[in-house]
Amino acid sequence: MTATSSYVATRSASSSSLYDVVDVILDKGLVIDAFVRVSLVGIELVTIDARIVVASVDTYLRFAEAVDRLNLREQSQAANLTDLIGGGGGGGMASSMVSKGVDKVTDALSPGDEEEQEQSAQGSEQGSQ
Amino acid sequence: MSAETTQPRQATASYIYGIVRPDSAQHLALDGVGDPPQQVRTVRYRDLAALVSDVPEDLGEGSRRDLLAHARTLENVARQVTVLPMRFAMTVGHEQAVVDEVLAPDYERWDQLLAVLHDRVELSLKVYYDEEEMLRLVVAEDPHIQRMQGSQHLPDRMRLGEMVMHGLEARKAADARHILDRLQPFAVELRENPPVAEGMLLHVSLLIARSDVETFDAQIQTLGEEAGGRLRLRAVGPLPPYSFVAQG
Repeated sequence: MTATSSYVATRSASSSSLYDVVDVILDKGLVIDAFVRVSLVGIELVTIDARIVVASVDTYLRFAEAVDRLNLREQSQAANLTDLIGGGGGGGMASSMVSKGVDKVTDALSPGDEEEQEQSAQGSEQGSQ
Repeated sequence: MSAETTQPRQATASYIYGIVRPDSAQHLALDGVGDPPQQVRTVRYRDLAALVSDVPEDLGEGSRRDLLAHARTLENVARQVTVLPMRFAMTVGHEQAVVDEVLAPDYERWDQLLAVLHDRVELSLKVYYDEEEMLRLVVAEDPHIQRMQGSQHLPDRMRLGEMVMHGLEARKAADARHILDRLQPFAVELRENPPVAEGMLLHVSLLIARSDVETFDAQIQTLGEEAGGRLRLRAVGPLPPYSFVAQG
């Protein structure tokens, strides 16, 4: 319980990376317009650049978690997977796995298609109990 | 320490990090922006002090490194004393201008803000949700959805998907409201920011008393445990009150 909870809720005393810093401080704080001496072009670049970092980190973390879950599920579906790849013809094992992975990730990210996945998740859970 | 103005050197400008009470800032030893980082010092006016460091007149493009240096300098200050944080890259031509153009003309404003924000800090909280866990809950809570699960009939599947989507939205809204309700009582002020990424349920800035940081920790811990794995709460702070110094 303790291990879980400390993962579930954390506070870091300082912004440890650009990622933490950006959405905390950009566009915030006191402004005295007349005194911005740094080239605004430069600031824009830092801002845009940093925004991309923020969006990427969050998106990447999300994908990473989705793939973690995928791995668990694929282990339990290994037999099915082999069938699928066999039926794929000349596609080659690696590319089949990749495209299957992509489909699954896409599924995981689009709420509308989720019920199907939900079912299979429940199915495999019941199977393992 | 004080504003004994050295000759405004042509090549040097003053970068301003923030404003503090002078007596509170006596023992701060900080490195600021620049390469190599320049020592941060104070420029005083009455009972105000600006935290400044020298930068080249032509700072060029703001760099990541400087952005981080700005943030860390202010965080170090905020950990110890109340500070009004400037936005990144506030720079005036020379040290005397810090007094003449920043501290003196708006003295009342700085003085009031420092009084209002005394011993208060900002915490930034992002809450993420696990979509699978959320969906599991949505299904578990709605017998309607359970009955329709597995149907191969297209209109039914559409209907099912619609119900799940709305259920998910409702669940997210309820979770967000619950968290806000629990944080509100000890937040002096609470500001919601737009979520910056998919999978983010909530993104808030809280202004709280420095002495309430532990209460906050306990609260997010409890919220996390109650959510049983479907939410992840990630906070950063204490920070300078970036979100609570804006004009107007």
